[in-house]
Amino acid sequence: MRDTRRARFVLGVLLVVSLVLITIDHRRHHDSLFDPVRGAAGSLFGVAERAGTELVRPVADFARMIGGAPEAGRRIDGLRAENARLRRDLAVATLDRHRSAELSSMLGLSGLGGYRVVAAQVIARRGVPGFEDAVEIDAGSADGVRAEMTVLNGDGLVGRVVRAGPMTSAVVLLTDPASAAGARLEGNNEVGVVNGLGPEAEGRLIRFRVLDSAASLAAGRRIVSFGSQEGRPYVAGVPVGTIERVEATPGELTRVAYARPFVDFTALDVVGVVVAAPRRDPRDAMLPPRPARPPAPAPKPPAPAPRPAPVAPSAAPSARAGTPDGTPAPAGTPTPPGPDRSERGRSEGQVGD
Amino acid sequence: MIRAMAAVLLGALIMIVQVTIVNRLPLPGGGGPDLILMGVVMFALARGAVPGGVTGFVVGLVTDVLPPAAHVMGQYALVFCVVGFLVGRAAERAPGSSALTVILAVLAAPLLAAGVGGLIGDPRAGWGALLRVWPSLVMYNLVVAALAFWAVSRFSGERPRRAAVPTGSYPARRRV
Repeated sequence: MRDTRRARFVLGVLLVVSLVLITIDHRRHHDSLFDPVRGAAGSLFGVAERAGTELVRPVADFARMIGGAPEAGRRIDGLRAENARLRRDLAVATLDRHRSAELSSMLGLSGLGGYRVVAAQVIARRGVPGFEDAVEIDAGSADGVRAEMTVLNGDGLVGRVVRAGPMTSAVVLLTDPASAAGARLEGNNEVGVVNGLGPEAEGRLIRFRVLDSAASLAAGRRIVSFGSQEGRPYVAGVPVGTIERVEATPGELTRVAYARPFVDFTALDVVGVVVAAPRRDPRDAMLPPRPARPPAPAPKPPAPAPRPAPVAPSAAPSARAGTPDGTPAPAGTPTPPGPDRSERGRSEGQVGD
Repeated sequence: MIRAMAAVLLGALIMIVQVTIVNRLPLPGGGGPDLILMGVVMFALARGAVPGGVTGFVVGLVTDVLPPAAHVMGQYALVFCVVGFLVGRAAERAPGSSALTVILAVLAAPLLAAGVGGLIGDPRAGWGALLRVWPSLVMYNLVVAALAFWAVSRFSGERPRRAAVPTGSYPARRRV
């Protein structure tokens, strides 16, 4: 009996202590009293997590290689086809090397968002047992990372830094249900908010809520980040995702669409932290080239034999990449650069898929 | 002393394995095993209510500061403390039914965590989201628990004995 009483007393004390901790931390969430404790734990466990990741990485790579073997076979076939096409394109390109150099320099320039980025590796992850989607990266305040900075990778927007330790920092992902990022449809200025959907979406979908109920949303349109004041926490113009389906919400003030993010959140590895935003909003310049319209059976470009045959430039990619001077290649007049250019624009569009 | 240090090191190792390996596996169903919870449950089963509760509290507190953490401090201390205490108490009262205790603890722990999150207004702890992930969470944790039970019974050298039942009419065999 006495033992039970002691046990109850111990339990009561522990519960009160944890409730007090929760209350203190919840009320002063921004300049919490526990920040030194968290900082110390971050340094200690950050080192351990970094070492653990280094140990595990070869094993994980091997497992991923085994798991991805069937897909790798398919990719080898695809790459082989692409290789043949690129080799042919190269032969075409040698005919007009000067024009090619000009075009590639322009593409490179427009592709530059103008961000200054610190590269980092993901070393630990909070997943479902915590209801939050956060990762730890191995760059900290020593590398210039501060809280409320944008994190991106080669595909698009990843999330934002919530806490920067000396060597490591914590990043809340875009798929976290509590994160909200301003976003904008590609091309026009429909503004909305992107929310994560949490673990049940498994990082495959995010919710895009457009503030204008009359906005025209359609599957396949793409979203870029809208940017906040002084680029904190989100800088402008980073690709976010492609709308996959639009939810019918008659009579509501906002419209809701579900988008597939460009970033594969289940296999995050190398990310970059934006430490300095560009002076001008890059608008849509950072979006990847649009995939060819029917994605699976890509329309074969005409065989290379009838070279001077004019091909009408396919709509989107060549409008973006192919005609820098704004003159659409007139169908019917066999100007020498016409077919050449449209072919390159087309291949440019297919490299991305 | 050596045992205590080994236990502390093992706890730290479990936490690091949880955040560096387990949480990064793209498992189907959206859930994943929670090794920290299973460690607390197993410890409480072996040691009883008060050590279970205290260990749960300490482990939860470390989990709260373990990077990357973006929740309120003390949340998991509360959850693991309650889970450890209840599991330990159940093990003291009904020592034979440890499997049932583990199953109940695994079923209840995510609900408790979500409940505490909901009490302090965490927008991530919605019931709809939880109920969709809950089955896979429970399943993965039960698999881990079954593995742990199997490993303990296999390597401790002690076969689970079936007591001879006095049946009266026919002689019962030991070890069926």
